Amino acid sequence: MLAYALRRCLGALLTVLALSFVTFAVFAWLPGDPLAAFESQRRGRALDQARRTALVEELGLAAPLPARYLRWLDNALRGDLGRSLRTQRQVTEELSHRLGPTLELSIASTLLALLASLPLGWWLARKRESLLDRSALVGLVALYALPIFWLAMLLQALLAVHWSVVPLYGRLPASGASGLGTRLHHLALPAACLALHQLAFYARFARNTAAEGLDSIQTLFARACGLTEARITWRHGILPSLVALITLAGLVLPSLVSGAVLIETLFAWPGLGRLFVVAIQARDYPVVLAMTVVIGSLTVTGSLLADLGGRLADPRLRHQVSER
Amino acid sequence: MSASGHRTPALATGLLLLGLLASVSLGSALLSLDPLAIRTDQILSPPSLEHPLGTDQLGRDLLARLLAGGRPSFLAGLVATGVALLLGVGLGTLASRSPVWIDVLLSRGTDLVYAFPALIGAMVLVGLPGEHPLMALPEGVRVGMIVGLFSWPMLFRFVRVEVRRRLGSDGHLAALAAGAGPVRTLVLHLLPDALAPALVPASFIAGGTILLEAALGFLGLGVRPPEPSWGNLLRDGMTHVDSAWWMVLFPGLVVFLAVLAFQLIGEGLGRQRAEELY
Repeated sequence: MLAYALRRCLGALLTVLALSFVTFAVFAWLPGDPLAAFESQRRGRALDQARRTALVEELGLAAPLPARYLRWLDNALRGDLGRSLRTQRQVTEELSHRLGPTLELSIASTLLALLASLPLGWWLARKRESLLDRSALVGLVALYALPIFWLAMLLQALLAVHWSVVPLYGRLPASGASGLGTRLHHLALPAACLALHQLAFYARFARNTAAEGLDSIQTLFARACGLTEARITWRHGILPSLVALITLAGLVLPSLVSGAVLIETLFAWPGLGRLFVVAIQARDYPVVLAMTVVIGSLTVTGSLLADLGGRLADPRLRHQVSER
Repeated sequence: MSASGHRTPALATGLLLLGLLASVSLGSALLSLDPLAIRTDQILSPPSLEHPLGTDQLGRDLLARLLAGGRPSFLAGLVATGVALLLGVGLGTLASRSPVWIDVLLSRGTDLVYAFPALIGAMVLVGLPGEHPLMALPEGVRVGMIVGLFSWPMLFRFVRVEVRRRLGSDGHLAALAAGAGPVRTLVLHLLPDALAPALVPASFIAGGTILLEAALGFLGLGVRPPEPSWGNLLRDGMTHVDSAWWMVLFPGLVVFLAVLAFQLIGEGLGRQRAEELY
């Protein structure tokens, strides 16, 4: 188990390194003239030849690609991700400012979704293959297919414009008030929209994993031994589905940072997802590179946690022959 | 599982919905509706007999734009699924029957692609200069190609495992006993069986692409205005969310129905397969 864990950690590290290199190389290869864009962003004028040579010198762009990558990596390992082309501020500073709002939104919505979807899923598993279960599943498929930003716009039009019960957008009011009530008031609609989308996924997952456990031969045996229905549901339905939830870490972890791109845009929420979109539009390479590495690392870490956590929690997985 | 043998209603509904949307959207090219005609006297007018779905901020007919906007969306879905199938099935099959080091190399490469945030693909779309040869392609094809490049890992893993599972099956052994070579057994005996289940993830990819195209257009990173696409229409809708409900409601509704159609097809195919197995 330990050898396996070490091997997987090493693999994860290599994947993140390769990810950053590929992104770096693709940006170098992309057609277009970022220097000209950079100059017009910063000084609002066209780029002449002398200025171009000076910029190439200043940014160290004359060096070959591997050398430039190694310099970036060296700096990155010391916590220096360079400066944003758009704002001229440190990339680390840009990211850290926006991490808080993003986590606020994503953690609130994920908790909301889990609290609502798990009991719903387990209840459906108890009633599996009934008319109620089948129609609920159709409803969940439909909810999952709903474009989340469309749903959010409709709710905005209804709740914020028509009834004025929640603010239309923003994280804090312009007046500068920042009490808990004000924060929750602003958080409610974006978090609820994000939660609804996740709910559709988690509820089906909880329902299917619990139903699988309840249909197993162990459940039959437990019932034959005279265990109560409540106990059977807990031992053979709810527990295995909680364990299976660990395997979703690979999906959940990166979505905590990147999942809210659309909702953050729609609600003018000053988070990382919004930053990512703005950076892509402005072709702000250092920021996009940093975001890619952050999201990629979280994806890799998530699947690592899912794999190792799953093996720790479920002895059956430990004894499975490893695929690779 | 319930009593088996019947076609699942989900599959039938999905196919019907998809056929309806696709034929209306593609057939609209034959109608004399101009999605780009500007009418300054009809700006933001609500649904009426003349404009059944209303008009937008430039007085353009929303119905015409909605129908024309479906073309890049469906095109993107088609191209993305094609690219993903080609890469996922091709590389997955290769990995399943290759020496260990090729398999490891391919699997690691797949992990790498999977770790990329798909949004970064938009970077390539935004960054291309106007004279680049890729720019000569229709918008939907370009978006679809990029999305396809990021969505094949799921199919790769699926096909690799499915082909492996069939090694040593009766059909495989019979082919070997009859003297078929490795390529022949792979292409004629192992792959066809693995392809049918691969249609399930493929239909989810198609639905996901339509959603992603809408999201990219919504973020201003997809098909470029004034050319309509469902994503662009939703972006226009966002800026008029407080004044023109029809600009939000209808484009989102068609995206929802198209994604739902592919979801239902995927669910239906999956369920049908599960019933065949047990």
